[in-house]
Amino acid sequence: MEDLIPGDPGPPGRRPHDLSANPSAAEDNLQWGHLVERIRSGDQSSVEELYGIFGRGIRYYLCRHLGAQELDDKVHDTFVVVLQAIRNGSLREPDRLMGFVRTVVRRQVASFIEEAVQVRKDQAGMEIGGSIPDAALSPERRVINDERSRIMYEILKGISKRDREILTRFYLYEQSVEQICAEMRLSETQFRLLKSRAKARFGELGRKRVSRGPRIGNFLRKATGAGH
Amino acid sequence: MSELSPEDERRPEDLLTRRSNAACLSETELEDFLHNRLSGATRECVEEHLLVCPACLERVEEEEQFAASFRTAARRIEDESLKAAFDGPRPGAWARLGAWLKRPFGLGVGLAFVGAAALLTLAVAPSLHTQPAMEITLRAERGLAAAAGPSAEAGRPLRLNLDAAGLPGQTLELELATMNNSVLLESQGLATGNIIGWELGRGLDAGTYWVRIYHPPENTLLREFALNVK
Repeated sequence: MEDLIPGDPGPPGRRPHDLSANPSAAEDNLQWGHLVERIRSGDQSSVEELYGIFGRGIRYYLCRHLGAQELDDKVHDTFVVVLQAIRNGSLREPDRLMGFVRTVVRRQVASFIEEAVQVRKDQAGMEIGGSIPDAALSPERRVINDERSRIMYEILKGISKRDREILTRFYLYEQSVEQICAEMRLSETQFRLLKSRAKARFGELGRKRVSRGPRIGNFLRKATGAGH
Repeated sequence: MSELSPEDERRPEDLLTRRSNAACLSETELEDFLHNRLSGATRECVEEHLLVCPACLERVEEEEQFAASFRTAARRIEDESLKAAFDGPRPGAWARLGAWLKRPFGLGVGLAFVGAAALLTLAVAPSLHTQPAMEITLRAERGLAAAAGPSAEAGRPLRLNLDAAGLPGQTLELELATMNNSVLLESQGLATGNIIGWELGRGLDAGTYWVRIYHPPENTLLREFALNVK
């Protein structure tokens, strides 16, 4: 990714490296400051870089709080707000860009929720129903989730009752690790080991099932031959 | 979806012990984040970090998927346990028969039923016979020939003869799956004269199934057959 517009020699002094390739360097205030400066100067590549750094995190945050519906539009709207805020000087401390983006995202979430509430209130009195967002998963996502649940069911049926109880307390009843360890008389290390084994088994079975999917067109298809 | 928690007032001590938003999440922080147990400056830093760290985000998403699948499966197991506990242990067949015979007129009706059943059996026994397993040979076919082969009969126990010509001469893994890729049966087989025999020992419902042969070490799919059951 080019940092600068072609032909632009760039600012003197230190050249920033690609923040999206090395997120651990994001704490370097000079890098955030330079990115903000480039955005304000109209450098298009800096906008792409901003999206590359924050795009996935914003998408995750919005999905977690608002669901998957119309997610692309919401991510886009949030980015527009962030860019406008940067360009009009609302970001007073460029080195706090991460915190600033987080604040904008939280406000966007609140705004989307408020808008959804208002739309439902407006539609409540309508005799002919207005649009009702479909919160159901897509058919593909349902199949994937069903398969994952089946794999997990097999795993849970295959482990001891005690191990199943430990994991159930953690994932279903959301008890803390400390409480589980105290009541079930195990160390945190033992708990972590059990958890990681279950996750590894889940991943292994999932990969096995995916690799065993029907390969249409890749292999010679056989038909039933003569019966005896 | 999760609710948006209100921002906590930043206490003075949080500024002294505040974690860096550049540091990747520990296992405990990840779990606390997903269970909405974080607050204050720690939550801010974790959320800021997740905005920019794809590695931690991937861990969070993986944990979320695992947790969601776990909850569905665990609830199903709990429902099954509750049902079993509620229904109680099922009495054996003889105990149920004994309880029924003890009812008023139960013995008389029971004897009459046994007599009638015996007469019926004697009358139709010669025509009854256990269906032997149906043998189906799955071969390599192409084009129109592939569509013209006979199908297996629904409900009849099946024995599959799988075309193993050209496959490695070692024990291979066998799999029977539905059209939706739900695995029904797994086994192992060794080719004898270019054929791997697989006694399913059961009948199948009408539909189309996949029969697959895998090479064990890497689970490499070697051959796949379509099995039509009508």
